Amino acid sequence: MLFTSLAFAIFLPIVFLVYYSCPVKYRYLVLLAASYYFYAGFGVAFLGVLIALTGGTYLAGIGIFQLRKKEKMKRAQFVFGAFLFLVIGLLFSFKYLSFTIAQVTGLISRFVITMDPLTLKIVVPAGLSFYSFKSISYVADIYRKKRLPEKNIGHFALYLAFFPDLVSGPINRADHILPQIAKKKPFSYELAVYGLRLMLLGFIKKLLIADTLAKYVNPIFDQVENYRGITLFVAAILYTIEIYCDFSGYSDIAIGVAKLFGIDFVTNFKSPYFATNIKKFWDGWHISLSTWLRDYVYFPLGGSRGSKGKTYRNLFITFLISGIWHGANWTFFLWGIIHGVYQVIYRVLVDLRNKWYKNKAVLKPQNKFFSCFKTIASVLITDLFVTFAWIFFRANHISDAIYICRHMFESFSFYWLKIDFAMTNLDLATLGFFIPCLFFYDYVSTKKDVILMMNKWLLPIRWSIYLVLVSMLIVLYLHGGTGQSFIYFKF
Amino acid sequence: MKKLVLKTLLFSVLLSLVLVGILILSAKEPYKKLISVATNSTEYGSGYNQGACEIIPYIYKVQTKDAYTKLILGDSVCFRMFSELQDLNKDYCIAGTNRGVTMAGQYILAEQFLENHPDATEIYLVVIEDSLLTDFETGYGYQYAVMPFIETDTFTGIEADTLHDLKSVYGSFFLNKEMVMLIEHSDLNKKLYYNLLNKVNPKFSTLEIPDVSITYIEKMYRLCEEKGVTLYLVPEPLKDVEERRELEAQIRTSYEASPLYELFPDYFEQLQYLPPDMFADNVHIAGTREELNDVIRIMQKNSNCMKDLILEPQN
Repeated sequence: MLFTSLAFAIFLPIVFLVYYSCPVKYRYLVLLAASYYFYAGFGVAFLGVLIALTGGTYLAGIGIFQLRKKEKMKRAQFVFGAFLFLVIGLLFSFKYLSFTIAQVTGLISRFVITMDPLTLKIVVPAGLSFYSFKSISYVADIYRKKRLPEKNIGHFALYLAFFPDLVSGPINRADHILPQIAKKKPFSYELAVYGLRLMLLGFIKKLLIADTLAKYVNPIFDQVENYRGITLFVAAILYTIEIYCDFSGYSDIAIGVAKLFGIDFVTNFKSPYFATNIKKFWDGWHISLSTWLRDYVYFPLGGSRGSKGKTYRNLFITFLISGIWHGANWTFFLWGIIHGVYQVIYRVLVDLRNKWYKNKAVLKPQNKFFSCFKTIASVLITDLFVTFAWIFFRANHISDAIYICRHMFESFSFYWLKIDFAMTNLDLATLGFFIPCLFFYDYVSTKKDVILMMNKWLLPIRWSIYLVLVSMLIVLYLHGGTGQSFIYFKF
Repeated sequence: MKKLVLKTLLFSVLLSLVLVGILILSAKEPYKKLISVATNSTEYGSGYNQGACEIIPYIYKVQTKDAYTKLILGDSVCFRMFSELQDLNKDYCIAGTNRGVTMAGQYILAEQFLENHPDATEIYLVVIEDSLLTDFETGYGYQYAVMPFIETDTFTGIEADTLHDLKSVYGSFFLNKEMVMLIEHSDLNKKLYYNLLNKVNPKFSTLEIPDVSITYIEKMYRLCEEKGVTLYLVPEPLKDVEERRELEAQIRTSYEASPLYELFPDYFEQLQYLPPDMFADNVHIAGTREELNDVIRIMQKNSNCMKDLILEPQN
């Protein structure tokens, strides 16, 4: 059930009404049943995987806690190791086994004996990467004595299966969500309205911008050899906008839906394309995954506590894992490497700069104009680097990505740009209006909560905007531009 | 909670009004084209989605009081073969249309013709066997079998049972003239309604001869009998391929079990198979005017009717 489907538009109000009609102490059961129903829509068999993982994680948490309580450290370590092995094994078998076998048989056929590369067709349960990370962080926190195991299995099952973040995140941590489930908060009008506004923003990002862009970007990335020059360059830039609107749109809807049920999710995006360096970009992009990797990969590897060399290594490994997490394809692997290299280079430059400034006694004050110019240049350069990496993320094969990189600066013929994109006036108008609006919104969001600011607007103005936007979304739904799934569904 | 529900309801009402406004405007100039483009519905304003526009001229044609004494009705195969002959024939009103009109539509055309042509002597219903199977479908049924007749107020002679069938397939709300006009003049409304029909209540013809064919061919037969007019049911040639012969056997069984067999026992006996290369697709005959005339001559010979139909300009 996609957030942008008619089925979800019926499902959500029903769940909302049933949820608030129920006695407070049973409300979590309504959400749990709804979440399982929602997930069964992706395949009933997948529900089995989710329930098995829920049971396994719950028991592992209690088991590790008991063993640590009895000071049986080795056994606790063994159980934790076995749990990690099983969950990562589950993730590997569904997501990477088929890819690994195909690569190995491909290599054998190349160097040992001729054979057809073996391909297994394994269907990955929707959202497995997201909820398996949630279960790992839950058990790891218990193992590291950062939290107690949850006693109520219903609450725990809901934490893992709560439908807004089930299939594409954000990856919420147990210590953030479980207390909210247990708290049994009464209905909050302000929170619900905030959630609805956020949902509207998410739908605009997804349906009006991302899906419209996808219509023009996908054909180019799917057949790169037919294009060259500025077309490829513009396609890369448009994909940069598309993926942001698609994924942050999804996150906005998910966060908004959760708010309707009185649950606050973590923020997943903070104006990432206004970042002035690559580190700040990752502070604002897919924050729940970045912080997860920081806490459960980067820190356990040693973080920045060791030598500079080790810090660079840890950074690189963390981003490599981030790339691999996105899927079984060399393009994601390379995307992870590119970002790992970016991080290392950035860190080296920062270290050099700090060293340099240390030797200078007084810093010269910068004038306003120079400071503004520096900020704009930094943002643009950062976005250019990010866009370059997205080429590898989006390309179907590494050879396609290399083709794009080699040919995108070949000729800057606007004639071909017009022919290759052949945008309708309607799409041009939609994108021409909404993309600047989005960037303006993002820019203001770096300083203020725009959604909260809307409370100060006059009611007729607010409602007129809602009416126009919702009508536009419906008209666009009729346009048939909603067939696109969310990009992060496949991860 | 109450505040949110009430505000949501109020918002839904306002939104519905805006949306209804868009639907109404989508059928009115100058917004029609803009909304059609904005909703990617332009394809519904052309080609196969223009059923009503295709049929309405024929309704007016059979209603016009003139000197015609004979009427040729039929499906798109009939249209392809006979329509070009209209200028050569002063006695024949040639009104081959489309199988989508169903036999109820063919009946209305016959009824309108007889009402306006008291001197009529013969009616030829020239159809391929597939047309006998055509029921009220969700595909093209509405635009061929419903819209043109409601728009021209000719749906009056329809049976109560048929009306019930129509309501169950298309919904009674969509059988009133205002709604039909709103759909007819708006590409968006066509897109929405046709897709809704296919999603909510898909209905397709089967290999059994439906009630609508039996009822209205019988009705047409009685009406002609009453007016002293002879009704002929003339088959069109079939493509000589294995699948077609198998299909014919099945349809023939259904036909022979129906009351139509008593009225027209030799419909299947007059069938003629032609080589596959004479066909543009599975049913439509291809070829020059001369080649089509040769096919008509075969039909004239097999059915022993339409003998005075002029096929070539006479010097």
